[in-house]
Amino acid sequence: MAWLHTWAGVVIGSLLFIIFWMGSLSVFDREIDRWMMPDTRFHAPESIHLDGLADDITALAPGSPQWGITLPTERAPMGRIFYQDTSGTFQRKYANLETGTFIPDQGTRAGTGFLYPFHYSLHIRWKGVGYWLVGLAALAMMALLVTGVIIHSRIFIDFFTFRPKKKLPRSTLDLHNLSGVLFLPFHFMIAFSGLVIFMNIYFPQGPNLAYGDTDVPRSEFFADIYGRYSRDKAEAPGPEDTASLDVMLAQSEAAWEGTPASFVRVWHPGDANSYFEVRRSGARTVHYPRQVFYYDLASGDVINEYSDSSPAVHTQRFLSGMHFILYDHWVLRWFYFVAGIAGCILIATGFVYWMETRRKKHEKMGLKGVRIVHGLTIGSVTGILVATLAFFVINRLLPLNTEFLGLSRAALEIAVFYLVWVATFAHAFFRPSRAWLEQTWVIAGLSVLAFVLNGLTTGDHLFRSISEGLWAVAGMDLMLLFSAVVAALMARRLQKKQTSEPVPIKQAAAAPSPAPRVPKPEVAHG
Amino acid sequence: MVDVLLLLGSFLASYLGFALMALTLDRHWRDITDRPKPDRQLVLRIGGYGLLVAAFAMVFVSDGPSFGALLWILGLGAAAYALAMTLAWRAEWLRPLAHVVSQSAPAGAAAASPSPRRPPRPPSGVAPAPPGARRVARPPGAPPPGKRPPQRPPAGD
Repeated sequence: MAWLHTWAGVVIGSLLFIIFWMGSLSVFDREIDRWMMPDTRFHAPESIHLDGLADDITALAPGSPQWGITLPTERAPMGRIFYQDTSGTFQRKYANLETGTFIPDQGTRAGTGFLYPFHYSLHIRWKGVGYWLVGLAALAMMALLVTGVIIHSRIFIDFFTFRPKKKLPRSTLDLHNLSGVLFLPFHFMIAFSGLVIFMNIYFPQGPNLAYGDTDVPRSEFFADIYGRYSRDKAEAPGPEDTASLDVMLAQSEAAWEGTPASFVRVWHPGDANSYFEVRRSGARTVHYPRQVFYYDLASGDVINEYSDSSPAVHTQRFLSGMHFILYDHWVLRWFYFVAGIAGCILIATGFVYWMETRRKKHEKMGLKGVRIVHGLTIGSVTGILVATLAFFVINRLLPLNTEFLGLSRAALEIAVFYLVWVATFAHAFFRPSRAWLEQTWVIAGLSVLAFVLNGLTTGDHLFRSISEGLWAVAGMDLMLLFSAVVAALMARRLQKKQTSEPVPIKQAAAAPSPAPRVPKPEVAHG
Repeated sequence: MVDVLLLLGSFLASYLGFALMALTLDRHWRDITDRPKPDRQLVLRIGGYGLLVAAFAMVFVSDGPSFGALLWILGLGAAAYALAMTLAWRAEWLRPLAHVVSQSAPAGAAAASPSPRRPPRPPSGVAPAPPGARRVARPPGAPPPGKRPPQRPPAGD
């Protein structure tokens, strides 16, 4: 058991930390979007008007086989429009659905476009390797939780025990056990539901077994579980006057007892067989519903309706809904964030404990790998925090429509993220003894910088965002300040320990040196 | 408004429930107060678990079964974390609670617990439970404390 816990932890730990960190941020991805896209900082509209905008979108995308809008919510007040341009590639655009005006491109992938996909795909597209790595990490997480309870059996005697004043290995282990046990049900559930969400990727053969007797098992399967419906183009122009999108939307929402729709789409715009799709949102239930209406656009009649009812599908939707938290519940949202950060602490402390208990022995043995493991750990723990903050800072520094070396503004932000991240690995490798401390200071500094830059470049400083009720912006700013304070306190504690600790003479000879004493540098990042 | 109060109440009930359970553990009792620890394990445990159940009842009423279950499980974790931090940094905050417990103990109950200060614990392994204290739960599959291998470094413990 100890063997499994140690090796799964050391090998997959970096990956797990990255996934947990990005996942914790994804809990507030839309709030991060508001902060990074200043033109979308407004209140959700009371009423929305699709009919006027539909003509504009059709004009924007002539010949697009489909276009759709993700409807505004309290957390994302603008409509997110997608369509295909003449070359067939998907384009995105934001619009204010109350006034029916487009919002200029914000030049960023922000939370929903960059941090959130990082969480589930690591942005490794090649052959879907990213999904498989994340799945492997989820599996490892479950194994680690179970073996952890068994090998750290003292937790049942030392329940609630955290001794911050004790020596590093002891206090780190306390924190490790505490975070692991207290949020064990949540961490287990989140790892398991993560696997269930991607069942189609991890078990691609499933549909072939159950629908093997049909010609197209996969699409039959998807028709059954997602209610996918399609109708061919008539290749004839549709009527001038189509049914009102707003009316069909209102009809659907009335049929769902007032639960709002989350997404609408027009298929084959302009064609005689054009039809309109309306999907129900998951705002009111844990279970993420799949309920869809399809209307004939010419007449406005319902031509297809889907509602998931089979127990297996319902279970899958409940588990994935629990993971996605697309529902409106602020208390739970914060609990998810706290539990996610506790997961980060769990992983980081496990790492630090493992390194610190072995470092001296390994150095004595003259293992060169120690330094590499050290560098990898620091880079994937404090390093990714530094890179994330650099991503926020550069977002506030680059003017809109910047282009450099042929890279768009959004691509530049991402390039900065990766460059900084690589730099933190290098820093950790070349200054192993000081890297924890210095990177913790950098985290504090960048947090303050991001906070100040937001006030300077957008004018939405803390007083204004609070007085105008822009809670997404205010919350992000407050979390930045909070993380700056915690990082600074951490760094000061580290500094005290590092200077008061007598440096062994042996270590004067450069090479891997004394105890970095950061049990939880990541503690407050938001 | 009622929902907010129920949510707060649920969190407080979880916190208090865990606090009562922490009082059954010698280490935490000694961190909190110098008074002798009364032999009230059973009452404290029943009270503790009762409060955790009450915490679930409150979120069930305010948010229904599915949201309630999530709120409860996550609230338990957060409350226990908060309690652990209280014990680490501000253990004296729990002194009034400990004093209520020791005062409410029937006369002579304190004497059942042999000594307020336990003998120093052996350097490794698990300290023997004082005669008054109940055995601490072990996970199934873990070796019993007595039969623990002396050291299982470094990942053990």
